[in-house]
Formats: sequence, structure tokens, C-alpha cells
Amino acid sequence: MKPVPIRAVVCALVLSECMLLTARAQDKQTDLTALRIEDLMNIDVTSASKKEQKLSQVPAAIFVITQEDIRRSGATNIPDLLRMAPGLDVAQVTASIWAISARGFNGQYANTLLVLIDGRSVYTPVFSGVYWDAQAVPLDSIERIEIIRGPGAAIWGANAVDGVINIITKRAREMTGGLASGEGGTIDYGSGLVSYGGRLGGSGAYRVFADGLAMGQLLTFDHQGAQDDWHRAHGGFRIDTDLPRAQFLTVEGEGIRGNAGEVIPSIASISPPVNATVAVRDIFSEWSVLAQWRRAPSSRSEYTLQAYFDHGNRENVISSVDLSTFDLDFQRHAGWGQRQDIVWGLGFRINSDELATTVDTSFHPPQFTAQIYNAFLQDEIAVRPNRFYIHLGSKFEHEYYNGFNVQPTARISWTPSDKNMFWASISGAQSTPSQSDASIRYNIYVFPGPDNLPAIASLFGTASVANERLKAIEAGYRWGRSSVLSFDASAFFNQYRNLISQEPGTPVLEVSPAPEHWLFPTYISNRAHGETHGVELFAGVKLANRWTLNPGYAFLAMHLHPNADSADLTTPAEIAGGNPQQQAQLRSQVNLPGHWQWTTSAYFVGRLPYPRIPSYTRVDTNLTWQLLERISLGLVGQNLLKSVHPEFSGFDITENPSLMRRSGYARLTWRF
Amino acid sequence: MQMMSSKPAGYAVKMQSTGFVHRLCCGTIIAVLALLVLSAEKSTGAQTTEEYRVEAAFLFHFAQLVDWPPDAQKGVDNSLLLCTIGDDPFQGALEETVAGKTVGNRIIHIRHLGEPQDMQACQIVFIGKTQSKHIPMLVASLHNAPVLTVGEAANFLAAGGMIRFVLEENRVRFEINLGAAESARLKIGSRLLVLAEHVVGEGPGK
Repeated sequence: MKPVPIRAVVCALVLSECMLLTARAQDKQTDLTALRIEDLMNIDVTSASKKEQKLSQVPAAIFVITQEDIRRSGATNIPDLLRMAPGLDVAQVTASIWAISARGFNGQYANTLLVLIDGRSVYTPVFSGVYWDAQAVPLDSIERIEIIRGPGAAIWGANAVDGVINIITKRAREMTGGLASGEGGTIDYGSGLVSYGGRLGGSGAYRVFADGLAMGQLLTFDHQGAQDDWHRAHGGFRIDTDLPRAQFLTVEGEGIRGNAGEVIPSIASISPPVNATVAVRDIFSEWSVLAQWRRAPSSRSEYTLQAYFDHGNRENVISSVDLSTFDLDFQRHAGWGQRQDIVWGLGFRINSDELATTVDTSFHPPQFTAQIYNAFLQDEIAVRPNRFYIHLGSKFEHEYYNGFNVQPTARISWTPSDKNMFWASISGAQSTPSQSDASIRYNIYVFPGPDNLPAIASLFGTASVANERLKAIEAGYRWGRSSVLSFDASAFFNQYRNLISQEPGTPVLEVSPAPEHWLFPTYISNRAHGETHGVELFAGVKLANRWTLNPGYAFLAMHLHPNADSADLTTPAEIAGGNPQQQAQLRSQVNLPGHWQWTTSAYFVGRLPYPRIPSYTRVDTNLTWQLLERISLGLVGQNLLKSVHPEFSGFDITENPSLMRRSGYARLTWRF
Repeated sequence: MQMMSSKPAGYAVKMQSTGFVHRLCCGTIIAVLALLVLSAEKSTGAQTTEEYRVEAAFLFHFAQLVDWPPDAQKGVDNSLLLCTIGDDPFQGALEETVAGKTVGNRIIHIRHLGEPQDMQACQIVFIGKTQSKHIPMLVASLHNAPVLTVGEAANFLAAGGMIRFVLEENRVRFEINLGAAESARLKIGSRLLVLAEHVVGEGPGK
């Protein structure tokens, strides 16, 4: 499935409902006296069974990465954290580029996932892709990351075709005090964070922070320097304040500036140099502000109003993108009678961008403004309270290209006992075209044509491109209440139609730009279809008081086909070819005596059929020593098993992919 | 943009097979899953509540961040006595979390008291909710002895207690009655005063 469109909904349902559910309970084995008193003040002490009950009642394939998981992982960026989620496919392309998806369709620009940071969508609507190098939330400020696989539009109120990644940061009052940390190692040439938070008046708090990183280059596939080193500086603030009458106000903002190298293997140009290989450096900058007002007079009644503005720019010597987004959302949650819980919301978003015409890429028109309106409604009906629920919901959206669409979901959940929970769902979801689907001209390759003239192959967007459509059936089972053992399984069957294909057109002579040449066009169309199915398993087992293991496994089968009227016989296979059929993981968390913690993760990723990438196992380890109450030391090794390995070379990538390198770093953290 | 298939093919990938490792890895995972399923029904889920584990850790910090007058350690070797009176709401969480930990050079010992007169031997006394009716009596019976009183009942500070735990949005916070602490010649560290939700009994009044 192609890029999820840029849409207006940022649904506080995600926020509100997720605030209720919280991750697995704080590990019982954690030595709480080793925590600072400020950290103690932030521990959610909702009883473990209550939390798990909330989580286990969600009739969807949900996985939560907690701050504890983050701290233990030793990861230095969000993509590496996401490897923990079974069913997500995280593949690193270069030092600063990742391809991430759930349930197939992975690619650098293939994003079937909606990604939100505190309710702010971080998609770039041009390609609907996420620039992961510009997502710099300091990892210590993340409260949790929720990953919902499968179409979540109606229940989550947000626009996800194959999933949602919801990154939620801590409230400012949970981050009071100072923090300084620095790290350095074999690839990580030096990263640091300084943050400080305090009280603001009687019922408010603030946090300000600044951080930066410098990452060294990886290797090309023939073991040369990949010229993909990157650097960034980032800063931000968050203010939270409680107002009278159960009102809460949050204001947060951040700004980032950075640069990242890449090598573009072929820039198609009809005048020499044709198909030149060029090393370029992306300069990127972005800033955003977000304000949220929430009123929660009771546990069954809540109002949320949220607005944000985001401006980003990314350019290198051959291209430039400038994008502004304003988004406004309102949401209401209210009980209705004894047995129904209703959430509805309205949203509006406006995107405005400006795209430079470059040697090989142009957009028609280059300036573009699109408005998106949406509404959603969801009803949770307790047929038998605490035992059997029905969820009915739908999203209604009006967007620029294809007008009005409806995306409904029906879910049931059955909890026969406190230890078991079954759920099932059927959903319809749509992916609206990205701007490139509709209006791009992309020059692919120059080659000698007929009549001794040069020829250029170009891809054209089509204004009439239709929405890709998904029908999804899902089911899941969860077992376990205790912190000793738990198990989660989900299975899905997805049917897609109107998938994007590239249909060849008739060659024509083109006189501009000179010299005269043949144009071999292909046009974006919707002449492919297919189905995917798979299962995802995850378990938690406490082998001993100090030792926890988390095994996970995911299976995915993709069968994509051209329609009978399609002449594009390769794209469906290419899209499927970038996804591993099997993934498995095993994470081990050990608490050693004397304030030592040791975490090791092994991630197996099956081979990618096309372009071929061998299967690999990635092993990361992190040894942390709480030296003093305020000082901790960490030693991290990543990709330990092999000195180099490739993770991705998908057909959609526009730069040379790199080999991942074995690496290590040390980190010192001081709280004051 | 996903359709930009343009990259020249033929990246020579010279990778050795890691098949053995993968098989090993998969085998382990399957074995663990099987183990899980087999042992599933045997597990039990006994747990003390998170709230009291966190409060126990708070008591450890209080012991570090409060200064007792020099005569408060009278006679007692190098132990720091942390007591509860009446029913023990911690149900083992105190022993599990703080017993045997050291504060400075003093080792924390836990006592569960039945008689109010025993409280004077303690450095910290936790007075649970079930004692709410008796708080004024319990506080008075200390006669301003240098004992840090910590509680959770709504009337705890008003009745002369020093630090009260409050639950706010599922997080443990605390309030301080500075006047009561000063009367007992306890010096409450500035870090605690900054973090407290409320500080009452401030000012010169002793």
C-alpha cells in the first residue's frame, strides 16, 4: 500500500484512551530505591492488574514500549526502539534513513503507518514519508510508544491504513530537575543532551532541553566509505499546567537543524552528464508548536482541543522541499447511558508546500495547498459489562484528490475470564494519493533510443489517481494477568485493491529540454491488487526474580498481482519483495547485584526476495551501572554478530544503501 | 514516490550465510514459546501493590533527606529504625524494598509496632489509613520526640503529622507540615520542600 495520505485527524482518542491504558506494570524486580525521588514521583502506581485489564480490553493488535524498555535498550534513535515491536519491519537504509512499516509494503517512502508525536503527525505530505532523521525527541522524555498494527482509523480516530505509531512524551512535571548526558563511540562520534525542568507557579511545570548528535559514515555495499555521516542540533520546551475545574493545558515546541549525506546513484538528465552519480548533503530544518487544552470532568467525560503548526525545509544541491502544516482538532468523549461510551471528533488540516524543480524531478504545480476535513464517531457498547463488548466506528473524510471517503470498523471483544481475552475486527480503510502520486514527473534513466536519438524514461503522476482500498479481517488472543507470564497473538487477512501500478505510455519525441530526445513515459495508475496475511506473537516470561525474557515472532505473506488490464508486470512483485516473510526476536533483561542492569536483544530478519538481501540477526547489548544515585554509566554494543550487513535495498530508494557496521559506545548520565 | 524504480541493479552483496545462527535463534524462541504454553497454567500472580512499593522507596529517600538532631540516635547502634503502627499496609513491601539498605553508615531496620509508646525508639513512623481516628493521639504521644511521622490519611497533616502521601493521577506525591517537623527538631531538606505538593506550617512559628 502506498503512502498514507496527509490527513487532518489527530485524534485525541488515541491520546485519551491511551492515557488510560498503560504499559506493562513497572517491573517488580526494579530496585526502586535506586531511582531518584523525582523519578519515583513519576511512576504510575495504578495497580498492575488494572493496567493490564485496560490494555487487554483493547480489541486491536497493540504493543507498548515503556520508558523502562527504552532506558534498558541502549538505542540512540526511535527506529532502533521500534525493532522491539513484533510485526513492525524496521530496516536501516543509510546512516540517517530508515524504512519502517507494519504488515508489509515496506520501503523508504512506503508508509502505511501513521506516526504521531504527542498528537502531531510527522508525515511529509509530499511523499507521505517520515524523515526519521528529523524526529529527535530525546529518548529519556518519552513516556511510552504505542504501536497499533492494522487499520486503526475508526477506533483510534486516526488515519492509519496498516498501523499507528504513537509516541507520547512525559509531562513537564515528571521531568523536573537537571539532566546532562553524553555519549561517544565507534559510529556515534559524540552526542549529548542537556535538559532542565522545574515548577511554574502552583500547578504548572516546564522543561527545556537542547541536544545534538554527530554520526559517522557507514560503508557502501563494496566496503567503501558511504559518505552518509550526519549531524543535527535540536532544542525544545514543554509546559504543562493544571487549571481549575479539571482543565489541563499543554504547550510544547521544538526546533531542529541538521545535515545528512547521501549518494544518489543516477540523476537522469538529457544533457551531459547523463545518469550522473552525485554525493549530496541534505540540509534540513523544522520547527513546530503545539497547544492542547483538555477538560476531564469525570472518567466518562472529556473534551480535548488541540492545534499545532509545523514548518519544515529540506534541501540539497539538486532538490528542495518547503512545507507548512496547520492542524486543528476537537474531540469529545462521553458516556451514553450505562452501557455505551461514545467518542467523536472533528478535524481540519491545511498543508502548503513549495517544491523546487530539479534536474530529475518536478511537480505540477510546484506550489500546492490542500485542505482536509474529517470527522469520526466511535461507540463502545458493553453488551455484558467486563465480558463482551462491541465497538462500532467510522471515519469520514474529505480530501483534495478524491473527495469524500468513509472508513468503517466493527470490533468485538470477549473476555471469558480475567486471564483470557479474544477479539476480532473487520475494517475498511483507504489510502489517498500523495502529491507525488498525482503530480510528479520523475526522470528515471537516460539511454540510447531509436533513430540515434537519446531517450529518457520518466514517471508521471496522474491527477485522476484513485484511493487504494483495504478490507481487513483481524483476530487476536491475549492470555495472562500476572507479571510472571503473558502471551499475545494476532492474525490478519488483508485484501487490497486499486494498488498503485506504473503503466507504460506511448513513446513520443520531446524537444525541450534540448537536445531532441525520445520520452518513454510511465503513468501512475491503480491497476494492481492483492492480499496479505500473517500472524504476530509476543510473550513475556519472568524466569527468575531478576531475569525477564521477551520472545516474539512475526510471519507475513504478501501476494500482489497486476490487474488483467495492467501492463505493469513488475511493480507488485517489487513492492512485495522488500518485506521479510519471517521475523523473530528475543530480549533478555537482567538485574545484577550492585545496581547493574544488563539487557541483550537479538532480532532475526528473514531474507528480502527483491532486491535480494540475505537474512540477518542483529544483536545489541547494553550494560548499565548506576554508579551513584545521580550518575549512571552505560556500555552499549550494536550489531555485534557480524562486522557488516545490509538491511535494505528496496526498489523505491533513491540513494545508495549502506552496510550496517558493528559498533559500540559509552554513555555517561548525570542528574542534578 | 514508492514507484521510483530507478536504481541500477547489481549491488554485489557478498554475504556469508548466517543460517546456523538463525536456526539457533528460531529454535530458542520456539522452545521458549513451548515452555510458556506448557507452564502457563502453573503461574500465580501474587503481587503487592505498586503504590506501597513506591511509598516504601520514598521513605528511603526521606531518611536521606531529613536531618535528625544528634541526640536522636541515642543508644541504638548504627541502625535506622523504620516503623509502622497498627496494620501494616505495605504487606512486605518495606522489607522487600528498603530493609538492609544503608543511609550514610546506618542500616535500615523495619519494625511493625502494636503499642504507641514504642514509637519513640523509631526514626520514622508510618501511620496507615486504618489509624486515621487515632492520629492526634499517636502524634501527641510522641511529645515532640525527633520522630519523622509519615501518613496517608486525609487528616494527617491537620492532626500534626509531618509528611503525607497523596495520590494524584495515579502518581505518588507528598505534602509536608513544616511546623510539625520543626517542633520535633527535624530539618527537612530543601529538595523535599521543593518537590512537595504543598508545604503547610511554614514561617517563624515554632
